[in-house]
Amino acid sequence: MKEDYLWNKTGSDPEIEKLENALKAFRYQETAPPKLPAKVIPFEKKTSRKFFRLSFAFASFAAVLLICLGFWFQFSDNKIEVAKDSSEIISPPIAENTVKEIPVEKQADSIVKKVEKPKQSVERKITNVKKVVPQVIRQNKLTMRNIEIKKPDDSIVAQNLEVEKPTVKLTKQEKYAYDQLMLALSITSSKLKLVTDKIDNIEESKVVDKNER
Amino acid sequence: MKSLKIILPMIFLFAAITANAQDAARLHFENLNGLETRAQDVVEVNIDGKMLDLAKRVMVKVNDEDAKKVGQAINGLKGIYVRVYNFANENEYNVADVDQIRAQLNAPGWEKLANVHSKKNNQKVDVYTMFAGNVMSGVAVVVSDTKSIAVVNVIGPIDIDMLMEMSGKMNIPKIDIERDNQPKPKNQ
Repeated sequence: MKEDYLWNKTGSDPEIEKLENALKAFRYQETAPPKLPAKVIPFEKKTSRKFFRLSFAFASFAAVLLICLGFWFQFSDNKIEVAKDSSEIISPPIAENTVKEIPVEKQADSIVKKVEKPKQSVERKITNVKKVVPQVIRQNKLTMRNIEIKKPDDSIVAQNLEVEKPTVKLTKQEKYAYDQLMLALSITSSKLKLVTDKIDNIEESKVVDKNER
Repeated sequence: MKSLKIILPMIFLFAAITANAQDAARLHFENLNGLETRAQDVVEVNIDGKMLDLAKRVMVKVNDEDAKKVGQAINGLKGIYVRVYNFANENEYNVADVDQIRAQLNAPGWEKLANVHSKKNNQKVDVYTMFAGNVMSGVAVVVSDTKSIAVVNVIGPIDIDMLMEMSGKMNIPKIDIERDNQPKPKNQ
């Protein structure tokens, strides 16, 4: 078998043998391993490099810490700024309207004008609805709208003026934390006040006793 | 390198001392835990760590003069722990429980600031402070009478005068439950 010679070197295969003879020069020949040099070079301990490595590690740690702190501060500042912006948005728009309306109320003509304005807007809305809503319901809505449009009361204006102070939007957690802190502070302050009141009472009673004598 | 060897242990030592001072200022309320079931009104407040930071941030958010003042007063605060128990009837709690808390205030570091004992209702009011160097590291107020117990433990520096001044403002309601209603004697 020709294949046997190729894999197991059994039998004979003149073709492969011919090739083997041709490549004989490149055949692997087992030789002794290379000898190590007689002189052994000792490994020098470089202390300075170690020191630099440690200092570099410390410096890099400090740099990373500073960057993290920077990010954190920036993030927290942004958050507060956003909150401030939101507080501006949250401030009730009704209050602004009422503030504008106050000087107008002084003149009778201007009141009429101011009251008419929302009426127009309502009519516009109703015309939009007309296309969809059935006639019966539409009429009812119209009458309801007409009833609702009234001259703004002084009391409502006053209420709106009270709300003028901008409110801050808080998350549930923030509100809870704030309430807890306020409760703790209130109890602390009341207890401390109780002590001062007690001491004041004692001092006053001493003064009274002295005067009586 | 040598300077690092000196500075780092010093930093750790300082941190350890301050942490220890704060731990020392913390009172243990465990023996009061059973009173919750017996008391008519219970107030338990534990505010520290992240919760306190959150509340401080709210103080910054609120654009108000009073809020700023309160914020300044609690700037360095590490925690507040409050326990208030009001009972329906007299002598419903064990006095030893409160005495155990008062005993904690006899530990070194605590200094007695005020101590008022009145025979009326057997009321006892104790105020203690703890200082780490020149900085206040804790305040403890223990108020007890026949029908109520109140313990306040503040960790960290706090401006007491400012806090008392702000009482009644800024949603800090005036709670003068134990205040005597007797008219003050007038000078004749």
